[in-house]
Amino acid sequence: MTFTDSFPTETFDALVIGAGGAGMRAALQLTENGHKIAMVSKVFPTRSHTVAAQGGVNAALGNVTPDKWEWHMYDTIKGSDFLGDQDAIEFMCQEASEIVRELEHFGVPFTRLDNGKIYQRAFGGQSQNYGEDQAHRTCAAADRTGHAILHSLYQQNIRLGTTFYDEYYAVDLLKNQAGEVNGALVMNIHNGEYKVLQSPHILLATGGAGQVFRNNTNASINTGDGLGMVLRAGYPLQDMEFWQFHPTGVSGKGMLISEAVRGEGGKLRNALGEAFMEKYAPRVKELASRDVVARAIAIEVNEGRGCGPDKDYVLLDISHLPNEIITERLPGIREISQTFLGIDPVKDPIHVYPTCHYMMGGIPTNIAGQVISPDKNGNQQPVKGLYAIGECACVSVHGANRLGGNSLLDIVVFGRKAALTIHESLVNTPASNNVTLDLSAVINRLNRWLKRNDTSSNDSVTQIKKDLQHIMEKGCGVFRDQATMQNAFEELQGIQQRLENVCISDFSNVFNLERLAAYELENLVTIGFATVTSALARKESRGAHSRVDYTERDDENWLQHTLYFQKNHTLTYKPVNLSPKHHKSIEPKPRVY
Amino acid sequence: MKMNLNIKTASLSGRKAHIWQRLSAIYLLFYSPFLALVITKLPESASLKVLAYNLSHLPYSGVFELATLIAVLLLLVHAWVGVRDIIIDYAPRASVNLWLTVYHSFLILLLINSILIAINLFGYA
Amino acid sequence: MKFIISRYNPETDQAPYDQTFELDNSQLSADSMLLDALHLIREQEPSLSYRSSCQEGVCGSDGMNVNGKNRLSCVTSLSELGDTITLKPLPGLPIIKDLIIDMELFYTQYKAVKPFLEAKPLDLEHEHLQTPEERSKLDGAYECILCGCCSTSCPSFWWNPDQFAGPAALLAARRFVVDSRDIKHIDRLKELDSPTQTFRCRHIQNCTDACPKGLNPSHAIQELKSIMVKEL
Repeated sequence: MTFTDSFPTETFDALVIGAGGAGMRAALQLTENGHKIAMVSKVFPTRSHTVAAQGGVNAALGNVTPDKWEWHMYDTIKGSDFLGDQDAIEFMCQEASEIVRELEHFGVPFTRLDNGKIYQRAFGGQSQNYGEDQAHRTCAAADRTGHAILHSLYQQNIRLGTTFYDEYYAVDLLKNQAGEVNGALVMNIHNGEYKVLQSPHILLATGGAGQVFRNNTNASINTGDGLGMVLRAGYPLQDMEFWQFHPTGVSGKGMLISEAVRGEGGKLRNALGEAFMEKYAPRVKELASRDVVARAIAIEVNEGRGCGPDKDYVLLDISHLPNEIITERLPGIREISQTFLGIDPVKDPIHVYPTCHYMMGGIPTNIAGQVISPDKNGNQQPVKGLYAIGECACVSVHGANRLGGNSLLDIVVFGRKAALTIHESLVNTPASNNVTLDLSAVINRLNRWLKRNDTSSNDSVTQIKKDLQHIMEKGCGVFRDQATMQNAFEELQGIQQRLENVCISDFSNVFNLERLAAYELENLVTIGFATVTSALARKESRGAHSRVDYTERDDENWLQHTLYFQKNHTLTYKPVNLSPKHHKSIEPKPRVY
Repeated sequence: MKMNLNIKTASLSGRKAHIWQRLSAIYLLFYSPFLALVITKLPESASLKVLAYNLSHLPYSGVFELATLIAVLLLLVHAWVGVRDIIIDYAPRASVNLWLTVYHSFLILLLINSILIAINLFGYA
Repeated sequence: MKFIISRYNPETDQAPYDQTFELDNSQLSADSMLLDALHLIREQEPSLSYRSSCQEGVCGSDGMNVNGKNRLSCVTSLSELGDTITLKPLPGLPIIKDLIIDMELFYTQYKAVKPFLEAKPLDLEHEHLQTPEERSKLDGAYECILCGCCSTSCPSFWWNPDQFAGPAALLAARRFVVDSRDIKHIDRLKELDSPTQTFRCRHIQNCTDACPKGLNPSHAIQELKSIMVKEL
């Protein structure tokens, strides 16, 4: 059989793709405003990866230490190594307090202070009064904040009766004859049937793509599906060279050990027992930005001061903390250590090493959540009908390095904002369903995976994915240089070749996970190219992009965002926004912790 | 998605049934040793009739009879809740109501029968 | 290591059957999890289907019946399972394919207990206050990941999955009943008071035994019953 262009079609006011925190907050808003929406998710909503976020969400509530959104803004810009857009960061930090109180109102079981207010913990890169004392800004529900937020948002969506398409996979964006995005082709994973969901507003909230690296804290569903769709539709990805390596993943396995562990007082030690962060960040030590701590750990291990038989990890020690702190505020961390390392952190230190955690780059958007792409004259223009929020988007509020606790903030702030943008547009122009969509490209793609293996090749989707992950880890890890990245780029071309030839062996329709993995792999490979191409070009070290051949930040030439287009792997650049609306501009300066 | 079981006893809440079951259990917990104690204190009885005669001629026999009457009623209540739950759980869905009706009829017959036996044994007319 | 896995493809099979797979011990390490083994088996047999996502026991995707007990494969160490491992889908709900079950009834029951906070009107200047003691009542209830290991081990749920809320839903119900911020306390209790809801639980405790997060739904339901007896 082959696919033709007759698929059942349904129409909606808006389509939300991805049911993590961002998508769920947006869906809640749209449903509350009375719009007919479809929430498409490839897993049951509470399985989305927001569920794994641990530490908390930043807001200058000032419940523990005095705080102002302006200080939060300053810390975020400094943390971003000045690549973050200052207007967007200002907007996010201003909204933070309200959005956290709103989450609390939705039912999030935040840990409480004795006076009944929300507990806030110390996190890396946070300060009072523009770089002075440590701030306590991260609102926490023990060490399960993401779980608490995701479930509460899902529950509120149940209250309002949002329409969910659970276990539907979004294959590609569809355009109308005017070339505007106007729908998406989705596959029901339960029976392999395809459907066209047509809508003038498509909101992508598909999350990260950490699966492109071998060692990562991400779920296996984090394959950057939204990013692949956007690239194939001809739009760019921004700042894809910036991947956050979380300093403390379980060594060799990758599970996340929250920054909350250091926020509550955990110390990092090398094989000699030295609390080595004193060397790298004398003032704030363990609570420096994540890129700084990750590099410090990598240097300790590279210079032979790692622990264990292979000297390939360092120790994260909390045994000096009172037991109540560990059992009340870090119960999830204790559980992970016991399950995956057989270690009880009450007594023994946790084995940690940096692991890929977060994608700072993504689909370029403005503050309103609209996807932005350069027009023929190079002017940045909103793409009609297409929106992106959360980790898949790059507003950019995280710049070259995200601060812990800003991701959960990002998803809810821009989730709500994008939904309000769509709402306004729908009020002005109601959705029309009289549209013809161009299905030719996506049908070719579907038909390509119907090809049967008629060669002796025993290559497989799984094997290609594994090799891709190795190439990316080797070529684009914590430290990078021209030669290894160039090598990675060439190896990626081999991967591309294999991807074009490989066949799947399962052609059934019900829960065909091999076919799903094939679609996902196509996305991952495009992301590999976007990352390596962008990283090769950026000849400086900034935030999470550390090059051993260009060790300094170069504001003169590189204070700009990268835009990557899939066609011929082209790059263009756009300036960083340095003019917030209310606050005075924060001038780039050397970043010391 | 939700099928309606349409149990006619649904008017009785889970909570009330739960409370009755607990109360009756507590009462029977105290009544049973009391009954055993009373019987062991009696002269040996050759037959049920003699036992009943002895029991009804105890000092304070009115109190004992009242306690026994309450015990019988509560035993029926206790059994009613337990067996009702079992029927709701295990009887085929289509015939739950039929089984409940049969069960309730049986309980009523049992109640009438108990009263007749009591009248017969204790000699009230 | 030997794995006896229940297979079923509705497009070709009349009924589920068992298929045996072997993994060489050299492919596994001392600290391998069951999910690692399943990934390796899928390399041999790409059509083998099971759900999984976070791989660290927080998303609740990979509940399955392992040697007779409901567990999450990603946090089940192979070392505690012996040389022959029998895998079946979670019992009591329809099988979609292999180890994947249709959880629709489970979710319907969850949604039916209104598992969402209804608080006083939102005040954007102040959060609702809650003392640490009030907040501590939510511990042991909000951590549920909806994996379904509990409800699919519950005989009362097996008999009437369309009637009885089941332990997961009742655990959620209790979480909102005891949340000091909720204003629908009494309404919730009234709705839970039907012969097919809270009091259908017979405290068999399979749920508590099965919960991979160490929660105690049976105790939570007991508490719910006490609250209803006291307050209704």
